[in-house]
Amino acid sequence: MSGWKGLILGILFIALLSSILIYAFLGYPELGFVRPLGEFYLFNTFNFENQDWWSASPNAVTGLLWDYRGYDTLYETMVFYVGIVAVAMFFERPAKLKKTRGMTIIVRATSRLVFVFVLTSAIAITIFSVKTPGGGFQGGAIMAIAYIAILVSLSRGFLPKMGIDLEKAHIAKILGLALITVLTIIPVLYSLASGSLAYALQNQPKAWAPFGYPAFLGLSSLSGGLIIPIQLGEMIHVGMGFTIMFLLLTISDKEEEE
Amino acid sequence: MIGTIGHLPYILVAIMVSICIYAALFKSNLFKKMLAIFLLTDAVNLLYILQGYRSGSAIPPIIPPGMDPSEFASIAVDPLAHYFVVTAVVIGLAEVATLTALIIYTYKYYGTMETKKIKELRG
Repeated sequence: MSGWKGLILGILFIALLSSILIYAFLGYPELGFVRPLGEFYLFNTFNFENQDWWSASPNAVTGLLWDYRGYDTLYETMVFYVGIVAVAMFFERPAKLKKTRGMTIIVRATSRLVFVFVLTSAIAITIFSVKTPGGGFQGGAIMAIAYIAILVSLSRGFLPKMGIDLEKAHIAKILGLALITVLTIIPVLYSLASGSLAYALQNQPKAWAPFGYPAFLGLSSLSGGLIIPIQLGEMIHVGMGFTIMFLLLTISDKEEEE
Repeated sequence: MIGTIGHLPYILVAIMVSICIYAALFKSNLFKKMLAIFLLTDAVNLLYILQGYRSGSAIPPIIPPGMDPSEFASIAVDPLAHYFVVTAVVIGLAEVATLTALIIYTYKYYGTMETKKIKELRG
């Protein structure tokens, strides 16, 4: 099917499907109103007067990510892990990358400087995600950009000089995931040891479940308890995941044969 | 009613979703199919963000220092919508990574990304 006939049928298909969807959307409320569940999270996320439901995070989205809906985020992290494993399975390559000289000393020195700046901003975005927009995923994506910038500007073979190859990236990714796992099960271990009630991924203490990570981490007004270290784990996991993916996708067939 | 300005963004989302579904189903190039699927997730994310929108002088879901929580709850946008988009973006990227790997693998094996040609090659 091609030409005018295909175009007309395509437009008809899109018009029909759009009409069905618009009819379905008629049931939605008009835009501009926040649902009661959303208001619950907004009201409680940093409410000192009712600490049974607070997440100690001024950023409600970050509070939702690793406190109110922590299991969702945990499973989403697993989905990302499986996605990267799938890519690694398709491109089974040698773990050690061939070292190359890369570009001139000016480009190399500038790239190293930019690398440090980008990596620092990734860590800052992750740590301060409790107070400002950002998070482990965003930080991880920026962290990966630091490595990808090196990969693009100085060739992939330059990464081993900076201590990054596929094997090390895999190990770092698993360590990030291990940090998340450990922080998740600490409340359960506490519960088993003390006999009191505690939940996996519990962030702040409740009246009926006394376990809780320290709400304030001693650094000025940085709060959030469990959220900051777990976001750092997510950052490493995501950053290394993207780095592995780009390393695998940029190895040419010629190199593979060598 | 659908005629009101409040429902207008939904119409745009509906058209975007329809175009993406059309492309994912009927385009013969595997790369175009993948792009359509990726844009489809973006269309759904847009729907989430629209659902969390609050009219008037709304603020982001980050409580400013010293603000009363009840006042904050009455003026901030819905954090749940933003949360869903963050998780959906991660899952979308995992999906695109896997699809990209599959497409590259298919291209290496068959020498083409066209589904029609792949079908012919299989005999």
